[in-house]
Amino acid sequence: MTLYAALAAALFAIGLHGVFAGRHRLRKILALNVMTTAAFLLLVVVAERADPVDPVPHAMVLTGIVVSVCTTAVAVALAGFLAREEAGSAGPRGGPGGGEGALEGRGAAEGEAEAEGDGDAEGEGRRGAPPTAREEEDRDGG
Amino acid sequence: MTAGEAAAAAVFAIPLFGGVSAFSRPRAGRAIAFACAAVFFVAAAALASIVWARGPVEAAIGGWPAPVGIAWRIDGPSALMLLLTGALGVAVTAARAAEVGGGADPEGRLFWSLWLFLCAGLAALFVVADAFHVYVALELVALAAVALVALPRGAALVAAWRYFVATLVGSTLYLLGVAVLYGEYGALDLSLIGAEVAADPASPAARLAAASITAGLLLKAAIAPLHFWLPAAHGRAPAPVSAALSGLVVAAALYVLLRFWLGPFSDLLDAGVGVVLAAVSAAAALWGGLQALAQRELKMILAYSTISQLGVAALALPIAAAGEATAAERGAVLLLAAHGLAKAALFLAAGAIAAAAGAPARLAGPGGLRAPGAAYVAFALAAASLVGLPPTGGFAAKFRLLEGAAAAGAWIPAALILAATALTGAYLFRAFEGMAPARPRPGAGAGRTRGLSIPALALAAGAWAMGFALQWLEALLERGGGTP
Amino acid sequence: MTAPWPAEVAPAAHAAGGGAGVALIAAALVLPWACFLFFTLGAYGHCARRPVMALALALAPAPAIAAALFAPDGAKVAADAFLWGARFGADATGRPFLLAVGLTWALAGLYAAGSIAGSEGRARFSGFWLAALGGNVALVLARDLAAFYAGFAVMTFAAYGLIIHARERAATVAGRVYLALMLLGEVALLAGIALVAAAGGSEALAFERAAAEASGTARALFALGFGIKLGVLGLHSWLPRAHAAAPTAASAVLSGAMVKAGALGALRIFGAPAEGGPAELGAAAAALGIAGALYGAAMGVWRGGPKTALAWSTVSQMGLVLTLLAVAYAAPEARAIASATAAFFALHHGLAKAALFAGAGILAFRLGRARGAARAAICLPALALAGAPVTTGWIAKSGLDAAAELSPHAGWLVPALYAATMATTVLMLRAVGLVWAEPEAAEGAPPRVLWLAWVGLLAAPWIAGAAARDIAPALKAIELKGVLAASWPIALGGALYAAAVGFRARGGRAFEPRVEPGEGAPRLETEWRRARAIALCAERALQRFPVIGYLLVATLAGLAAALWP
Repeated sequence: MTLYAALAAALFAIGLHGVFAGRHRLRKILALNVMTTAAFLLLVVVAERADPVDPVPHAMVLTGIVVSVCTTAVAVALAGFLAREEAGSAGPRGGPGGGEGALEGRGAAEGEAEAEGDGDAEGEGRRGAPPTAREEEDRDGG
Repeated sequence: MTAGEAAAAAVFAIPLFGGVSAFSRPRAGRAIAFACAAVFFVAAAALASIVWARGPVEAAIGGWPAPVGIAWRIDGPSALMLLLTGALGVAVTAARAAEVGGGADPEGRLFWSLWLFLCAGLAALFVVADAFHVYVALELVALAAVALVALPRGAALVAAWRYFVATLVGSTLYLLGVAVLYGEYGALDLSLIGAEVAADPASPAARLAAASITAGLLLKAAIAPLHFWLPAAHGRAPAPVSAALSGLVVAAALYVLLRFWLGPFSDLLDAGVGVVLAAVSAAAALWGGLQALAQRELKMILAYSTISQLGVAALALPIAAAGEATAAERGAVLLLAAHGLAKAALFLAAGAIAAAAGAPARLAGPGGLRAPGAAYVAFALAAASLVGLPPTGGFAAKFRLLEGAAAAGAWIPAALILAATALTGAYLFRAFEGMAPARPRPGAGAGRTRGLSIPALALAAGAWAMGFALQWLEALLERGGGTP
Repeated sequence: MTAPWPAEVAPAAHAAGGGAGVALIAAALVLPWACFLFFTLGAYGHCARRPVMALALALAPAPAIAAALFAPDGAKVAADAFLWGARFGADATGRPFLLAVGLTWALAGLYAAGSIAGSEGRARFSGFWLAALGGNVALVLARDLAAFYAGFAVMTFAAYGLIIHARERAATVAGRVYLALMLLGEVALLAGIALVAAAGGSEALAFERAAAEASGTARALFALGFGIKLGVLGLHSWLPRAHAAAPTAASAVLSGAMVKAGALGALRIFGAPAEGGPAELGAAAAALGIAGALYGAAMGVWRGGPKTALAWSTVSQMGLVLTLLAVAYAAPEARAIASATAAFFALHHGLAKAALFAGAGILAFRLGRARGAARAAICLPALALAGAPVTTGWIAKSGLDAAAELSPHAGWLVPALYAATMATTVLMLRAVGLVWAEPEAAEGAPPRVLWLAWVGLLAAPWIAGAAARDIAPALKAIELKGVLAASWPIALGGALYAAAVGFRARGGRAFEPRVEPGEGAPRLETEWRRARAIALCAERALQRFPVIGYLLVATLAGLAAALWP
C-alpha cells in the first residue's frame, strides 16, 4: 500500500528527471509516459484502499490511458517531423521524405537560429555564430 | 433541458462536431468554422445574459448528480471567459480566412478542425466543475494548441516540441494532484472538495495536492521562471494562432489556477503561500516586461508581454491571500478578458504589418516599420488597453486589483502592479515608436492586410467597450463568483 | 457599483440645468470624438483637405467655449455607462479652464489647418489632435477623479503623436523624455486614485469627497502626477524639449491648454482643504514655484531658439501658477483670490502663449510688407505675459500680488514676485528678439487661414478677459494695480535686457545662444545595449531544459514548504 504509493512517487521523480535531463527526444517521450504511469499507479492505489474496490479511479485511469495514447502519438509524430527536418538540414543525406524534407530542413535551420535566440538574431546579444539544429539538440539535452 | 443548459451544451458540442466535420469535409472547412464561431459567440452571449439574469447555470450530464456524474457549472467569471472565447473565436476565424485568402490552403483541413477542437476544449474547461474533467479539457486544449503551433512546420516544430513538453509535464503534475485529492476525499467535484478541505485544512494530502496542481498550472500558464516554452511558440506561430494562444490558452490555465485557489483551496491560502505566489507572479510580471523591452521583433515583444500580463493577473492570488478575495478575483478575471481582447488585437495588427511588408515585423529605429493605417490605429487602441489607460477594460481591471491590494494593505503586490504597468508602457511605447503609419501598397498583400486589420480593430474596440459596459460586466462577475 | 453621486441629485440637476446647458456639455464632450472618427475612418487624407480640416479643428472645441460661457452650474451630463458612472458639468473652478481650452484649441486648430494641411500625415495629425482635444475637454468637465483621469490619460498620450509628428531625431528624443515622465505621472495618479477608492469606495472619487478624504500618500501621489504635467521645477525636463520639437500649432496647445490640466487637477484636489494645509508645505511649494519662475526665465534667456525660449517661459509661468496654488492651499485668508487668479492665469497664459507660438510660426514665412506689422503684433502677447497694463497680464499680476500680500509669507513672496516679473520681461524681450532675428523664408506666403488664426489669438485675451470676470465672479475681487506700480518692474526688466544687449554688443558672451543638446547621451545607449545583452543571455540560460527542471523542482518545493502545515 504505502510501498506502492512510494513507488509512484519514485516513478514520478524518475520521469521528471528523464524529461529534463534526457538527451534524446524519444527518451523524453518515454519519461513523460513514466510520469503519467506514476499518476495512474497512485490512482490504482487509491482505488484499492476503499473496502469494496472503488470503480471511479479505474474509470479515471482508463480515460487517462486514452489521453496518454493520444499525447504519445502526437509526441512521436512531432519527434518524427523534427528528426526529418534535422536530417534534411544536415545535408543531402536526407532520410525518407527526400527533397521535401531537405527543403523544409533548411527553413528549420534558419528558423531555429532565430527561434532559439528569441528575437535577438540581429547579433547584438549574440557571441559567435548562430546555433545550428545540432546545437539546439545539445541545449535540449543539456 | 433549460435554456441555460442548452446554451452550455451548444458552446461545447457545436465546435466539437464542427471540428470533426471540418476534417471530413475539408472543402467546407472555412464555412463550417465561420458557422461554428458565430453559433459559439451567440450561445456564449445567451449564456452570459442568462447567468446575469438568473445566476449560475448548473447541469448534471445524463442526469447523474455530482459525486458520480460530471457536473457543469457556469457562473459569472466562466460566462465572461466563454464570451471572450466567442469573441476571439469569430475574430481569429475571420483573420485566418483572410490570411489564407482565396487561394489553395494545404493546411486548411488540419487548421480548421484543430482550431474548432481548441474552441471545444476551452469551452469544456470553462464549463466543467470536476477536477478530473478539467484535466481532460486541459489535455484537449494542449494537444490542439501544440498541433496548431506545429502546423507551419520548419522552425515552428522546435517551438511546438518545447510547448508540448511543458504542457504535458504540467498536465501530469495536475493529474497527480487530482489523484492525491481523490485518494484523500473520494470526491472530484470542486465544491465537494472545497467543503472537505474547509473541514480539515491541515491535511497534508490536500496541501501536497495543492502544491502539485499549482506547479502544473503555473507551467501551463507560463508564469516565469517556467515560461521557457511561450515566447518561441507564440512568437513563431501565424498571427491568428498567436492571437488565440496568447489571448485564450494561457489565460485559461491561469483561470483554472485562480478557480482552484479562490474555490476549493481558499482555506489553504495564507500568508506563507501568498509570499511564494507573489514571488513567482512578480518574477513573471517583471522578467516578462524586461524581456519584452529587450526584443526587436514585434511578435516576440507581444509574446513576452503575455508573460508579464499574466504575472500581473496572478498577483490576484497574493492579494486574495491578504484578505481581498472578491476584489482580486474580479480584477483578475477582468484583466484576463481585457488582456485577451487587447493581445489578440495586437497580434493581428502585427500580422497585418508583416503582411503589408511581406516580411516579419521587426523594429528598425524610430518609425522604421511601415504600418498600414488601420493596423496602426488598432495597435494604438489595443496598447492603450494593455497599459491600462482609462476608460479601457485594462484600466478597470488593474484599478480593481490595485484597489483590492490597497484595501488589503498588500503594498508589495500593489507596487508590482504599478511597476509592471510602467514596464508595459515602456515596451509598447518602444514598439509604437518604431512604427510609422503608411498607406498600404496595393498588391497581393493588400487583401490579407485588410483582413487582419479589421478583426484587430474590432477586438481593440472591444477592449475599449469593456470600459463602457463595466457595470454590466461587474454585475455578471458577481453572479456566483468565488467558491464554485 | 453605484455612481459616485446620490441618485436624487442627478434629476434635480437636470431640472436646474435645463436642456440647453446639458446639450452644450454633451456636444462639447462628443463633437471632438465625432470629428476624430471622421478623420480616422475617412482614412488617409482625401477628406483632410484644408477647408475640411480647418472647419473640423476649429469647430470641434466650439461647444466647449459655448458651454464655458452659457451652461449653468447645475447642468450635468450623466454618463452612467462610463466606467463606474460619471458626471460631466461646468463649475466655477473649471469654467475659466474650459474657456481657455476651447479658445486655444479652436484658434490653434485653425493654425494647424493652415500649416499642416499641405503636408503628409495630416489625417494622422488631425486624429491625434482631436483625441487630445477630446481628452482635454473631458478632463475639464469631469466631476470625479476617474473621469478626470480618463481624459487626462487620453490627452497625454494622444499629445505624444503631436510631438513626434515631424519624426526627426530631436522629436524622437523629446517624445521619449515626454512619455517617460508622463508614464511616471500616470502611474502616480493611478495609484493615488486606487488609494482613494480603496479607502472610501468609488463614491469617494467625486472631487468634493476626494479633496476632503484623500490620505497623505494619495495627496503626495497626486502632487507628483500633476506636478509633472505642470512642469514644476525638477519635473520640467520634458517641457522645453517637447515644445521645441513639436509643430508650432501643437506647441501652442501643449503650452496653452494641456499643461493647464495639472493646475486644474491640483486646484480641485488641493484648492480647498477644510482648514488650511500645513504652512511649511505651502511655503515650500511657493518657494519651488518662485524658483521655477526664475530658473525657467534664466534658461529661456540662455538657451537658443525662439520656440525653446517660449517653452522655458511656460516653465517660468507655471512656476507662478504653482505659487498661487501653494498660497491657496496653505493660506485660507487668501484662498478665494488665489484660486480665482490661478484659473485666470491659466486662461491668460494659455492664449498669450499660443499667440506667441503662432506669431513665431508666421514670422518664419515670407511676409513682405506685412512683416513690420507682424513684428509689432507679436509684442502684444509678450507684453501681456510680462504683465503690462491694459492687457490680461495686468489682471493676472494684480491678482498674484494681492494673493501674495494676503499670504503669511508676504515678507519674501512679494519681492520675489517682483523679481519674477523682471525675469519674465527679460525673457519676453529675448524671445521677441529671437523671433525678429529669425531669417525670413525666401518664398511662400502664409495661407490666409494662418493670419485669421493669429489675429484671433491676439484678440482673444481681451474678449476672454472680459468674459472671465462674468463666469468666475471671484475675479471681481481683484483690484487692479496702478499703471505705475504695474509698469516699473517691466521697465526695470527692460533696462536690464538693454544693458545685457549692450554688453554683448561690446564683445561679452553672456547672451551667446546655446543649443539644447538634442541627442540622447551616447553613454546611456551603451549601457542600454549592455543591459539588453545581459538580459537576453540570462533568458537563453533560462530556456535550457536542465535549468527548467531545477526551476520546476524548486517551485514545487517552495510551494510544498510554504503549504506544509
